[in-house]
This record gives sequence, structure tokens and C-alpha cells, in this order.
Amino acid sequence: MKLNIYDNQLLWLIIMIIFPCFSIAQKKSLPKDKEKRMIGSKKQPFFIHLMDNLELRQSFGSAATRKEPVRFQFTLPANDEDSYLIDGAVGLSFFDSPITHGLVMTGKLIGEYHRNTLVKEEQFTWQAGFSTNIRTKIFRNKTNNTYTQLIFTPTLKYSRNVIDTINSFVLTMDAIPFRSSTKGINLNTYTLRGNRKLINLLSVVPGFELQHNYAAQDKADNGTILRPIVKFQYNLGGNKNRLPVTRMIEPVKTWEASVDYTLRYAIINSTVNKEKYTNLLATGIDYYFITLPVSVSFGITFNYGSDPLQGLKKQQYWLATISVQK
Amino acid sequence: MLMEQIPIMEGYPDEIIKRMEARAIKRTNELPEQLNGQALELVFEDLLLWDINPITVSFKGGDAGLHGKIAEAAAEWSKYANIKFDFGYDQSAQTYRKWVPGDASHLRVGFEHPGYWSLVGKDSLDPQISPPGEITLNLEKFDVKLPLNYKSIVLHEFGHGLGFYHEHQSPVAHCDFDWKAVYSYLAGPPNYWSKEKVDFNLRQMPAGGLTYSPHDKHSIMHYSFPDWMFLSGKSSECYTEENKDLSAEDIIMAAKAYPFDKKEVARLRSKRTLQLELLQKHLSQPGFLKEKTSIADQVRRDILIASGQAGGDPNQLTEDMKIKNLLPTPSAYQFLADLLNELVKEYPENSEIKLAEIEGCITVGECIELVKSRL
Repeated sequence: MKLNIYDNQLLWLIIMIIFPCFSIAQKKSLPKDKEKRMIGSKKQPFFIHLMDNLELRQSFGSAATRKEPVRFQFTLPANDEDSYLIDGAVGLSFFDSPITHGLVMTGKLIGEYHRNTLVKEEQFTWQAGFSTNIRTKIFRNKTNNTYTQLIFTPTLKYSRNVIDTINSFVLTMDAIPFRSSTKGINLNTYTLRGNRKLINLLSVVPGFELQHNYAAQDKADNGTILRPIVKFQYNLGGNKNRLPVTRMIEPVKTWEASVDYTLRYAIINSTVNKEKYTNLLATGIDYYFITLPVSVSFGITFNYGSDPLQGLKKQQYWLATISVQK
Repeated sequence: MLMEQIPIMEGYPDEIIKRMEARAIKRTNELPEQLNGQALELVFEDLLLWDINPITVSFKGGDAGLHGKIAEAAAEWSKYANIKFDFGYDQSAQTYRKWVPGDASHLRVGFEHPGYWSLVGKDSLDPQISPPGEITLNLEKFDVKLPLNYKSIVLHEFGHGLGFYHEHQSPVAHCDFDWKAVYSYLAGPPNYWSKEKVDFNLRQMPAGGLTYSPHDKHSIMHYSFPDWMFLSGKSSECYTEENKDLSAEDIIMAAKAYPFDKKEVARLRSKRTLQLELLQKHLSQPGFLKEKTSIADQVRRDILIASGQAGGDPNQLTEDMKIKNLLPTPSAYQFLADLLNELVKEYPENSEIKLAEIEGCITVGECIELVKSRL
């Protein structure tokens, strides 16, 4: 694989931004820094304000439904080429204000970097743009036991698929329902019923992706693709907390099984590629060895499918990970 | 016949009167006469008004048809006061909230006790006066036969439920009761009232703690007494035919007690929070003050809602519990930030909570401190 100088420079630029931010973000969450956070919205030095408004994620494509951290893997074989996986995104919030009665909007600048040379079909895409989050007010039913909110995430970004040398402008939007109730299944937050031994988390998110390719190396890739999309995520975990029973109100996972499925369908496709249905499945299981003071877990994930927006071609692979989280 | 002219009088059961007297003695013993320069009575009367909206109501007995009529009649108050009654109407089942043992609804309507009566305002929440599960508003035998004047009775009793006293007991009312006759007649059937009970229910109230309008005999909160109960008979300034609707003065006072203006709501709540804090410093067993949802409890409740445990007991959420264990997604964090933002916006000045601040909270305790720092 050959990369031009421009793309490699960008990689190092993003790494240089991500890692200092990551260490600062970690530092920010120390308890001793509590007082500083308490005055977070008051006038403060620009750098502190900047750090307070920086976010790090694996991707902003699922920013409202998952808390997945930046992923970085590196292999250095003695007699072969280095290979690595980086899934990272950085966002800088700069706007958070009501726009009409009952609607609040936040805006952020985002940059994403997805590179995977560990797999057969390499992935290398970076994106930069503007993401907004428009959410409704909180709705309550008459008996005040069901709370709902709807979040929309219109995002406009430039995307560069380095492997296939495709430049795109992409407009995406998810409609994320949040539900918390004393009855039924909650959405985008835990459902803990009965004795609270099992921790359920369900998320169903419809949306769309509008991708306009231009200046592609292969002219046949130029064109517009419109994809309605449905994201489904279900996690089932075991609650470590058992005694006293009242402690089970705080769900602490000891194991977790997850299914993460995304279905896309290109209803409009003016490129010459044959994309119609595409799907992406990630299913896995994690076991938490330690939960305090840091959580350490071992997990195995099976991944199958493709993500055309992030340049991940159709393939399947297993991933074994040890995660350490503060 | 005279006996036929003696109505069933509105009055609390003896047990409730005893509890109120015991509480009054306790307050006198434990509290100074003034709090922060304000007369103690005024503080307590002000604290009887609700700062929860809506007020939940449950029914012990009766059917959905009766509940609907009561709900419809009581809703008249909400046209003029910024407060709503939540009767727990289930549209699919077409039922209203039913009383359950240990019921903690703000107002608990029953039909089994003698007479028509209601506790005043947040006395319904005071476990020293009315423990959970006890009826706080009684409409005798409405479930057997609905009186023709039921709407005015409901308006009157729910007026008490909102925190309004009898107009004929107003400090500026000059009711020339023929006390000798009143004691004598009410001591007999059908009321069998003691002198103390007559005094408790009919005597003029001291001006100290009350916010009052000029005496308004057309108020729905004014009782219609037979003319023989007054020395000057029908010419008494307190004699009136039965009032069936809210008077103009009722509407003004209701809007004053529960204003629609958000800034005024915020000012009143802020004032009451300060009053509660002052009282809590003095009272060993603060009664309804303890029962009233504290800021910490409200934050705990909001955290539980965001974590998908809306029906959970906030008391089980200890301050050391980790927010990251309770909130699984960024949208749950955002939801909590919005809930807490609603909470702090009920108070004036510095009232804003940002998502980044919630993300910075490690424990439940830190989250509570964050909210308190904004009030």
C-alpha cells in the first residue's frame, strides 16, 4: 500500500492532537479537580475552556448512543511490516443554546480518523466537519413515570477515503429516541427490572447518509448515494453488585454480551458500484476481572460486514481485546 | 324545624385536630418566634403552598365516572392558578389513579369518613398530620350518591388542598356568630362537636401568618351558614347563600399564590428553599420539611430517571455511587443534564448546568454538590 505524504502528515497531526487531549481529559476527571469543574461555565482561561469542550470518541457516527473510547492497536513483527488499528475522533463543542421553545441545539467541530491495517482489506478514512445535536424538551406522561426525548444529529463533513482515493461530502442524520420509564423497555439507557441482576441496554436508531463523491481517482466512483440506515444495539450484562440488595441500584457489570448491527440500503446510487444493501455486525462478549479502582476486561468480538462511509470493505474478523478504563 | 336547618359541618376528624395541636406545641417549643426577621406563622403558611406541579391525586373508592366528575370540577382552579392536578388518568383503560396502601400521592381523596374536609396545602404531605395512605380530602358518600351541589363542594375542598383557608375565618372577616347558640346546636346531632372543635373550625384566624384579601363572602372558600347562626341573621356580613363558583377575588388570590410568571415562581421557590434551610437548622424532626423533596433528593431522583430506574428509591442512591456506572450512554448524560437544568432553572440567578459539567461528575455526591452550587 502506498500513501501520499499529505495523508501521513495528517495522521501525525491527528495523533499529536489526540494524545495530549486524552491525557488532559484524564487529568480533568480527577476528584481533586472538582472545584475547577464546578465553575466550568464561568469565565475561565481560553485553554481551560478549550479542554472542557473537547471530546474524544471512537466515532461521532454513534456519539449519542455509545461511550466507546478511542481505539489504538499496534503490532511490530520482527520480520514483517508494522500493522495497526486506529479508530479515533475528536470534537470541539462551541455552541449550546435553545433555538426555539422546546428545542436545544449544540454544535461541534469534528475530526475522525479510521485506519486499520490489521485486516485483509485495509481501511483508511479521515473526515472533518461540523456536527450538530438538536434535541427536544423532555416529555412526561400524565402520571410522571415515563420520560422521553428525541435527539437529531445532522452532520456535514468532508470525507477522504485514502485507499480508494475518493473525496466526498457527507450529510448524515440520526434520530435517537431516549426513553426512561417504570414500565416496558427503555431506550438508550438501562432497563433494570425486578431484582436488577441483569442489565439491559437497547438502542434503535433510524437515520440516513447522503454521500456525494467527487474527484475520485476512478471516475466511476463519482456520484451520489443516499442510504437510509437503521442501527440496532443490545447489551446484556450481569450486575456484580448483590449485597446489600439496595446496592444493586448501581449497575456494575461483571460480564457483558453485545450485539451491534447496522443496516444500510442505498435507495439512490448514481455511482457505478453495485452498492445496495450493506450491513455491519459486531457481536462480542466481555468479562470484567476488576471493576475498582479501574475496570479491566477481556473481550472477544466477531465483526462481519462493511461500512461504506468509513471505508471499511466487506470482510469478517475476530478481535480479542483487553480494556482498561478508569 | 330548627334541627333540620343544622347542616353537616365541615371539620377535621378529632384525630387530625389532635395531631395539629401537637405539632403546634412542638413548633412553639423548638422554634424561635421569628426566622430571619419573618414571623414564624408567615413562614409556615407560605410553606403550605405547593412548589410541586402537578399535584398527584388518588382516589380511595368510587368509580371512574365519579373520579372524572371530581377531576373536571377541580380542574377549574388550574384555569386561574399555575398549578395542575394529576389524577393519573389512563386513557386506554379510562381509569384514574387508585389509592393503594401506603399511598404517597399528594392528595388522597376518600369517601368513607364523615363530612367534607381537606387538609390545607402541603399539610397533606406532613407525616405528623397525615401519614402516607391516610385520606387527606374527604367527600362523604360521594360514591353512594353524588350531591347536586357536588361541583362547589369539590372546588371548596380542592381549594383547601391548594393551601387556601376558609374565607369566613379570615382575619378581616367580622362574622357575628351567636356563639352560645352555635356551641349548643353543634354539640347535638348530626355533628356532636365539642367547644374546642367549634373554635378550631369557625373562629377567626390571627392575621400573623396569612396572606389575605378583603373579606369576600362570595368566595368559594366561604361557608354558607344558616342565618340563625348569626346575631344579625341574614343581614350579617358573613351570611351568604351557597357560593357555587370561584369569585373574582378567588381568581386573583389563586393567581397570586400560584403565579404564571416564571420569574415570580422562581422567586417564591428560592424564598421557600431558604426558609426550609433555616427551619431545618432548628427542628429535630422537621415533619413535612423532611418529607418535602430536598434538592439532594431531586438530584438523586433525576439521576435514577436518566439511568432508566425512574421508579427507584432515591434513598438507595448513595453519594459514593459512580455516575459512569449509572449512565450508559452519552444521551443518558445529556438527558440528566437537561433534567438538572430544568431543576436549577426553577431558581433565580446562576441557573444553568452544562453537559460538560455533568460529564465531570464522578459520583452522585459530586453531582448533588454541582447542582447546589448553582442555586
